[in-house]
Amino acid sequence: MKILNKTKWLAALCVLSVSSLNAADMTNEQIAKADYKQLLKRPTPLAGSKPAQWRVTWSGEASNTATVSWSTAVFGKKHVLHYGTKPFGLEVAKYENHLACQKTGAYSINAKEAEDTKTAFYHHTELSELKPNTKYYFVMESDGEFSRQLYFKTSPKTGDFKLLVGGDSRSGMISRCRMNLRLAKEFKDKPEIIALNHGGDFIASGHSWHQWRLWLSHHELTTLEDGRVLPVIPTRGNHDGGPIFFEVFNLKKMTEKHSFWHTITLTDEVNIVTLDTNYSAKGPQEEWLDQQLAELRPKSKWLITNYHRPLFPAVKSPAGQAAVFVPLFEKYNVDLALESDGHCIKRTVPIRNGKKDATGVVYIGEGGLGVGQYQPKPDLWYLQDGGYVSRGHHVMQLSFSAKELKIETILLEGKVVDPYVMTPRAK
Amino acid sequence: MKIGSLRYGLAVVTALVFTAIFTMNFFHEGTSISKYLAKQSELDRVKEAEVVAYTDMMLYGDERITVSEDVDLTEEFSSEEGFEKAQRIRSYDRWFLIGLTTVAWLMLIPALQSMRALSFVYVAMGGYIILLSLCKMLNGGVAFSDWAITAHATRWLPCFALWLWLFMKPCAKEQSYRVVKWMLVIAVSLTFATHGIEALLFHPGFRDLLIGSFEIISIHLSDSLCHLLLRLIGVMDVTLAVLVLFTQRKSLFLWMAIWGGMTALARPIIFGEILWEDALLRCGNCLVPLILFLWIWQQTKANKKNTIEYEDTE
Repeated sequence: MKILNKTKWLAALCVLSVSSLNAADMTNEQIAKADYKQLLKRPTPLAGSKPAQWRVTWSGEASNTATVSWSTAVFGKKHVLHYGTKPFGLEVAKYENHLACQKTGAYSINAKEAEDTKTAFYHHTELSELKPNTKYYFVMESDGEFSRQLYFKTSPKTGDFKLLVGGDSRSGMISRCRMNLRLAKEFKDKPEIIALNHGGDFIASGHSWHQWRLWLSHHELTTLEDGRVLPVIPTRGNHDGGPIFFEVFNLKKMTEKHSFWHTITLTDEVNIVTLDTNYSAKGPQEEWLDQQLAELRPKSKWLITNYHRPLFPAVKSPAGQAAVFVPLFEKYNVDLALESDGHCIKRTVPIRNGKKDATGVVYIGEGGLGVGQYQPKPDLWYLQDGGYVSRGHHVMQLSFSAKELKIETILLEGKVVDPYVMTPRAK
Repeated sequence: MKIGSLRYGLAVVTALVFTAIFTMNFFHEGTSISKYLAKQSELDRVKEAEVVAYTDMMLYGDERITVSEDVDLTEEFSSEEGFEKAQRIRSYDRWFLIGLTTVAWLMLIPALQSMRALSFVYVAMGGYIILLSLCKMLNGGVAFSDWAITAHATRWLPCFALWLWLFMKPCAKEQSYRVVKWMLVIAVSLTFATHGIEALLFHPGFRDLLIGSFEIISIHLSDSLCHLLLRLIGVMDVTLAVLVLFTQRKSLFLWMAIWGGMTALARPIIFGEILWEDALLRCGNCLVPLILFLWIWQQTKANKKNTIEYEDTE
């Protein structure tokens, strides 16, 4: 009992010591110029069986399912998630549920990296039958070592909410961490934010555990002082090849190759169909997309597609999948398409049949969660006459309400640019 | 037709390849070389290596690269200056590419082809394409980019073959021509072998091409049938790549030319106009085997007459 009390005090001390670095208390200028060495005091060191690198992943019904995952430096024997709708701090026995990890294993590490990089182990707990719009408190336990109490909130079945959308965090470690502080600040200031849709290119080389572990530790910076964790909706970017992406987010491969597509239902009226632009557009993915859009369009107020390589790019040439995806998006009247990869800020005009059309699809994004920015091409027809293009580290905020969807781009410094409002399509 | 006239065909292939590289990069984010250099410049600016080493030490107890706890992690210069530096790199790269593309077309002027000193421009062109492939490999993020150098052999090896061909004196011995011919054979073999292995590993782009080709003739290709066909194509490509190294039959090169042409043209036909540059970029996969076919055909014809004429010597 004494040991438990000591652990609690240590945990409290730890929380206090990092609170001065908390994004919520920082000014916009402090976030934009945050000192990396100070920031690095926040992530949990990966040592022994201490749970570290936690994340909540959404893939499926966000109102009643989630995966809570963490890493440890040793394989360990007992990995349990203590969770429930009431907070009990580290008095883990009091939580309503105690779920043993369904999946535990070593992150893949290539032979070259194994020479000078320690391996680590993932632990996944798949939660189901959760209540919508509800806070779930949890403590992760690995071989008697506990995390601090954290929590996440499931998405509502209906009603207003906000979603953060961004991509490309593969290089620029310091900018990535500062952007994570920006995400935390937005998350803290606007509790109606429910998750981050990451558009892919988490890291530069998907086969590198060394790079993934950095991303995972940096991701801890998005956790709020009170323990709220920002759930992640993952997308596979062209740099996220290999098995580690699936090990990090507990995702199921769609084919024998590492391909991944899925639909996430945020609320009864908002669905995001995530595609894989690393895989063939034709064949299984096209058939699946056709079937998903046909099924979801009648019941969605907002039908959104999400993938990495842009179909209407502001910097690069269009993804090869454009010839397959665009006609389907237009056939089923997709409202919004989320893109990354171009390292810039972009919002196209609504597009249908290769020209501006008020009934068309709006394409936004291109990624700025830390990576160096490219010079976009403002003279492209779909970026002119009502479109928007710029550059800078950023995240986009989608605010869903009964009457409209508002899109805003939030820069690292907190400045909001290009507010854009969409109204739902007539049924 | 003399074998020497095929040299001109090879120069046309190089000009077409450079035209494709130009259009694919000049109007977009730049070549893989500028992408690599700009990325490295940005990583140096933000002291990425030191930042990573410091993190390794503090969070994981690894010391891949030793750094002091007092290491200065402040950026070398501002992000705006970094952006301008990257833009300068892209700008130099664009002008260099314009220069090489222009030279590739100018070299089609017969008078310039006869100037041996100018033959070295093809060494520069070949080296440039190798560098493009190497940077593509280093940049990553593209399926099978690790094999870019061998996959692009029909783009860069003909440049070196052309240099040798132009640099040789018109009265050069048959042995020199044999070296040129072997360079072209190896180019074709490397590209076909790489593409064959990629097909065996179900390259996603190849899957799309195959399914799309059958859609044109209103046939729905199931996933299993698609994989079976890709395996067959892979085996065919690798077999051809090996066979041409041992037996240089006209029919093999003719088939390679037809197959190379079909796969290159399939891109714009299936995916629309946006991929016409892709087809142009791959023209070597068709035209280099075609040149070899014509070469062997000419040689066979001449052997029957017992006179091989390589060049106009007047």
